Amino acid sequence: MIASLLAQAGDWTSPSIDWAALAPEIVLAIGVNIILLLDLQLAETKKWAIATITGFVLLGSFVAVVVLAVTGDGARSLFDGRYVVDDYALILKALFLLAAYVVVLLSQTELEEGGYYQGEFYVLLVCSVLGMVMMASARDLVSIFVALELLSIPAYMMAAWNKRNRKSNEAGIKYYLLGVFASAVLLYGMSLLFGATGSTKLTDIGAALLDGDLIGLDVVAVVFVVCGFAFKISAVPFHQWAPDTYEGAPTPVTAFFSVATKAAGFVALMSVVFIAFPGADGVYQPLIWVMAALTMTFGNVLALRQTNIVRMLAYSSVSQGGFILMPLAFAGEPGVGPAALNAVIVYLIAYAFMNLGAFAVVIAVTRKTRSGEISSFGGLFSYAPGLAVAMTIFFASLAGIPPLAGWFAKFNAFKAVLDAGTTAAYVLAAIAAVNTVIAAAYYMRVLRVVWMDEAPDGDTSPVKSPAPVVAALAITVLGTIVLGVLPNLIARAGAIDALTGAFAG
Amino acid sequence: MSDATFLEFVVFFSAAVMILGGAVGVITMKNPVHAALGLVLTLFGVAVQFVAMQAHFLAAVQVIVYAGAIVVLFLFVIMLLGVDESMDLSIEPIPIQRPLAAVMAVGLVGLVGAAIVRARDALIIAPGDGIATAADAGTHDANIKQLATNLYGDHVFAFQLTSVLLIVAVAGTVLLTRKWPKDVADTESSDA
Amino acid sequence: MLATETGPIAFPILSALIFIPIIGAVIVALLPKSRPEYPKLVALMASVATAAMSIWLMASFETSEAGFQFVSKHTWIEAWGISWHLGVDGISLFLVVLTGILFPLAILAVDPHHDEKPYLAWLLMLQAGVMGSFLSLDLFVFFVFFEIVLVPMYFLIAGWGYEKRVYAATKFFLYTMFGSAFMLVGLIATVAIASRDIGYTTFDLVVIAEQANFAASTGRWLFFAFAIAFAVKVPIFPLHTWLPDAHTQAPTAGSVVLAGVMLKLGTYGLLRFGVYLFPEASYWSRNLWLTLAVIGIIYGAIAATMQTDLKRLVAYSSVAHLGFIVLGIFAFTTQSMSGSTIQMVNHGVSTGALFLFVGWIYERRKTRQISDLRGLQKVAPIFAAAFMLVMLSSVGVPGLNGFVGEFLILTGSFLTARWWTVVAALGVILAAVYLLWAYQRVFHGEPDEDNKKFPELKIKEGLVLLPFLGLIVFMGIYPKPVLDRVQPSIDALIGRVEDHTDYVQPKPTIELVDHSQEPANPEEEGDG
Repeated sequence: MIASLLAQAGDWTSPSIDWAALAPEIVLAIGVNIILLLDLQLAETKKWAIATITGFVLLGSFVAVVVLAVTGDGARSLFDGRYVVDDYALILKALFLLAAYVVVLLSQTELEEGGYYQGEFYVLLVCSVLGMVMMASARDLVSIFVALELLSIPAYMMAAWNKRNRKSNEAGIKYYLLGVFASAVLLYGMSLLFGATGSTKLTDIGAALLDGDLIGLDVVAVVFVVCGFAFKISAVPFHQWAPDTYEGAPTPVTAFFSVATKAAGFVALMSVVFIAFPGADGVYQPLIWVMAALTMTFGNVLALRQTNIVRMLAYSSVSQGGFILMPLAFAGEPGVGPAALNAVIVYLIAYAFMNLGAFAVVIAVTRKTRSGEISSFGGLFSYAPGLAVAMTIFFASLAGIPPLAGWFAKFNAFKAVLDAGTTAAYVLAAIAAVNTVIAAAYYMRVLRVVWMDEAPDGDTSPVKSPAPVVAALAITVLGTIVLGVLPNLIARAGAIDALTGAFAG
Repeated sequence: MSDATFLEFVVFFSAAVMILGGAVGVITMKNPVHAALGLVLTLFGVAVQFVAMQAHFLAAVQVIVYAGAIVVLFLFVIMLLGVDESMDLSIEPIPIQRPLAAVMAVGLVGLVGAAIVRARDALIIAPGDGIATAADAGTHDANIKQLATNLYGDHVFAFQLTSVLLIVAVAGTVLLTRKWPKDVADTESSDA
Repeated sequence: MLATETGPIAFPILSALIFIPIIGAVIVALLPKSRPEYPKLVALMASVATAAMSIWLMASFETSEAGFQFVSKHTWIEAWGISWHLGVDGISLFLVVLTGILFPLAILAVDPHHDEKPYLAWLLMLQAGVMGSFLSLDLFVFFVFFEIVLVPMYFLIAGWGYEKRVYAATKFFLYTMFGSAFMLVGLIATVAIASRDIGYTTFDLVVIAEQANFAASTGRWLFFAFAIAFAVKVPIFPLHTWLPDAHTQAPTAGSVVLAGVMLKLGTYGLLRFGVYLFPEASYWSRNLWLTLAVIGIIYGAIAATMQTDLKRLVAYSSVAHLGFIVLGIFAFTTQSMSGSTIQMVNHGVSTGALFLFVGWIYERRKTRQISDLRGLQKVAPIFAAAFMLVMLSSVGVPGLNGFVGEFLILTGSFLTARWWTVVAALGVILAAVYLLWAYQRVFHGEPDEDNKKFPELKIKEGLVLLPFLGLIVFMGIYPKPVLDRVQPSIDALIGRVEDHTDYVQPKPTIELVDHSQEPANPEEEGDG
């Protein structure tokens, strides 16, 4: 029996693996185990060390990414082009790791003071980041799906972290149910895609779709796949989970969802759109056009009516998603592809800094006020001028006021859209322009409260922010300003308008 | 019509009836245990279809994992929670939800059906084009072998990372079952 | 590269004009709270330094040169051809000087009621933003500054204004933001379309203007995208409704700056990014603008007449005055456009001074209602005399600066836009009506109990006023130095319009000052 098995194994050769290219993922995977084991050993009083170790794991992975970026010449392609480490992937990996690091900084005190389980939280966080890092390189439907689940399943649990709180439970359940539903839709689309093209590799699918006319099955598959990702990026009309989940989840987790998870959804969407769907631009472009227009409009209009700051930020993040989506609606126009890709990446980076920063300020302030109402931010300038200035920078950046990162990102997105030069592009740009004004209205409303109003309870004792939160604020403020003043930095950080396998056709 | 194709047609047709009948049963049965059994019927039907398409390994996995493990788990949970009584599902939280869902479902079925019918000609794949079948490979386990080559070859990284998902599952279980520290639990519940 | 060749000095004076206020603002913001005496000192130093440099700029400006001078150009974002491109020509020169002079005076003239530090920091940021908008020759850089201006102004109005300040500030912000959103789309579309003609992507205003060739319909769409933003800023009827609120509720320094320089961003933008960039489209749509301008003149004058609040009255008078400037721009003659350019400066000086007076009156009496004030001439004659002079300049009395601008606009416009000019001339009469009537109600008559204690002009206030009064008289009597510098650029601009359309400028009926051989009024020359 064994002999016959061994005889059969003769024609098997294991794939050659470029281990260096996988270094960031390997560091994270090892880190998960270290954190899990250490959590068992550490006494309750020393649990704070877990956060520090998590930070080091993320930084270690970040170093690996940087080394790959500096030493790598060209793209490294693994597993027959199913896993690619190129500049595009590296930049997004760095973004995910940095965002996760900021989230760790933000969660540290929150978890310690809330008495939540610390070890498990960081294990889940790193697992989720591992999924995102994988997503950046995945060029195959199977690995995209595994990455998506790997980043989502820990996220469901993190949403319900505050077990005693009904809202947190609601957040977790809602996120879970809709997330699983989205996965099902996505999987259905993927299986149709596989059935229609006979491959799970994105480049093969791209070639198959370009070759000859689209058949009805392709159309249904493309629509399902795009809609599946639309859940993850909370694009209207697939956004219903976002506000409740954002409000119920612990605030650092919300920051993580609104930045990292959303970015991962966009990354998957970009890989699919640019590599697999160039032949189906007639299908996904109108779909994304409509979604982008609806997303920014609905998100903004609903954000206008919110009185809770986290809910407002939730809707604002929905509407920002519309702006990020906007260039993708013209990804297939001749010559626009690279600009659209660049616009989305730049927006994701800028958005990560400013939105994490906005949440960091909210966390710092609510530690004192214990209230999420916008009115509770009154008088912030009088008792915490530093936080007020930081908040002004983030909200002004979100509103798109120069010379801050968000403005540059918006500008970039507009430019990509207008490069297309079609009537649809002009109409979408005009819709987006009106939306920037609506968005400015609610961002300025918060700033008005911060600068002009009196403290609601007359309590003007200064806010004492713990060191990790201050560090998070410093990183995000710096990023928001530097990216706005020296946008060359992003443009020069590699030719990010190149995506291996894309733009060939 | 030759005997072989006629037999194939009979098998396909009866399996299809099993699948659809089971699926309808899952939705319409009032008793959750009956619904779970309906699901078993559907999964078995799918397994039969796999066999008819020479995908023996998938058929086995389908029966073992889905019918064997997952539905048993469902039944276990149903028994454990004591919801074996039929529940009243006639109350709707949002009135137009169900008609709307029905319309959507019919529309979706129409769309997918039309897409498949229209794509029929383009989709004819020669035998052995995709999955290696036992018949043409000459060995009874060619199917498994190809699956293994795929899994441990091009998809090995994704396959390995699914193991991290197991860690997530373990951590999640710990989280769900662990009790809160006493003092924290008290302050939290007084807040709520 | 141009910088060292055309400018007499290698020093990057234009960049300095922008960065000195920014540095000042940062220093003010960083000063410790324990030393309350420093912020004002630092702010004054920064703004006076800026003012001195802007005057130096004016002195070393080449008179006969039509193109941009002191050009400084550095690559900023290479991939898109965005560069830090600054330059000044006859059109922007005096607006820059006005910006330089107005801010130190505004800082000196009135103290805020509270929180001096952020107030001064915002004011300096505002100055940097306005300077940048007037100086930038890159569409991208211009847009950055144009947007930056909004933020300090919002906070100045909302933080240090009067009763309904938050409402007014938000209205101001949203109106302007609405306009800029369209400009952003138009701006990027302009670059995208122009890059097809030029062959590479660039945001450089001069390159786009000279090398791009917009089809007529495209150019018109783009022009309107820009024009909406500027029309809000000017403001042109019917987009003006934010202005009375913003002016009335803003703190005195805010009103001075708003009227003095910020409204000019709109008219300057129309000249630089409307007429210069899209000559065909702006000529094609001239009738629309002329009509709106004339409606603005008449409407502003009538609305001003009906106001009971002195500050609101001055605000509505701005709508009317800006209407004259728009009229002059879209009449497309050398005289009318030079007149508009001069009138931008004149309006800044005289309306700025009027807002200072209103602010001082409010400080003394805690009211701006005309009906509460009476007989101030008896108790404060010097105050009244100075007010009279400024008001007459605003009315446009010969010998004062307002006359020069309005006269040039009306005579120039009469050649190409006869009937509009005839109606607009009515506005001059109406201006005399509402301003003189207001003066009569506030300063004449017998003062009652409250007004008897009205203090006389203070020495500090007098010192602040001196530059205003000096400019009013000097520019009224001897505008030649200004015209010499403005006219070459205007001629070049009209030449551009003639190149791109079938328009030919009619021969002027009245010679401009610099065409005549002798100075206008030899006897009065010494007085200036």
